[in-house]
Amino acid sequence: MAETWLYNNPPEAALLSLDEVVRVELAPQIISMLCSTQNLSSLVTHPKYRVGTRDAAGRWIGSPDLPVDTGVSMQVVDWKAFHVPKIWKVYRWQLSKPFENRPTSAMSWTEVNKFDALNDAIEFARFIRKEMSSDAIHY
Amino acid sequence: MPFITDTAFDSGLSYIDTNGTRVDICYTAEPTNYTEATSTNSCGNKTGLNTGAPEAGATDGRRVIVPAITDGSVSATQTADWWGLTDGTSLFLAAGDLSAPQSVTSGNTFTLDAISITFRDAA
Repeated sequence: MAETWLYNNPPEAALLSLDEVVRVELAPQIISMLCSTQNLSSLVTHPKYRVGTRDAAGRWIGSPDLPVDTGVSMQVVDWKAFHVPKIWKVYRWQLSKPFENRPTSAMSWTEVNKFDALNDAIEFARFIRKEMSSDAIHY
Repeated sequence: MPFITDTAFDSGLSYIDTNGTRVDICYTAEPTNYTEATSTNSCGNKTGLNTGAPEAGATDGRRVIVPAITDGSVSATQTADWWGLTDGTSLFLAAGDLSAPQSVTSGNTFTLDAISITFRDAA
């Protein structure tokens, strides 16, 4: 099994490949945050989320669906881990979940699990990789 | 008056200039890393881009410009909401929301205006 760090600069970013069919990658988390005039100010922590732009789930901030300062939450990427730590996501190379919207032969990286600790993520990735090898034998 | 030299800004932006060669349009949620930007959440991409060298920002600070795209490849029928800039290999460099969501059809091409990535001057 070939384990290759395609990029390795934690805590900023890191990407581990297992035989090009399983990946472990560091990712910031998407969190819920109350809309307020303070956190939508360009002077504080999330300047990229402003009234008139969209949150991380695609809703327009400041619209009737996502008004500001009325106790409504927006989804934001905690890019710099100000609120929650980054996590390790495990992806598997397979037919993508919404594959009916893609050409039938299309493959993509699909998230299969996420972990707080790198070692746990790698262990799970190795298990997935081994499982994929077993699948291949059955074919 | 706070001051940060343009040379400092340009050092950071040069990293994007050097590495930024691929733009993906994304759906479902804002991409948070390389894999999501280029595969999991991607519904189209354009490779071989040449991000410009650092220059003066539109208002202040410094910026680099990712050139406009006229012939991106759509890989999935979705509604694109975000873009992601990478090196096409492993580096996730920048992301943002499109000015408006855009429905795209697999097999078609997409166009995208130039993208400015700006470091604003110190407040």
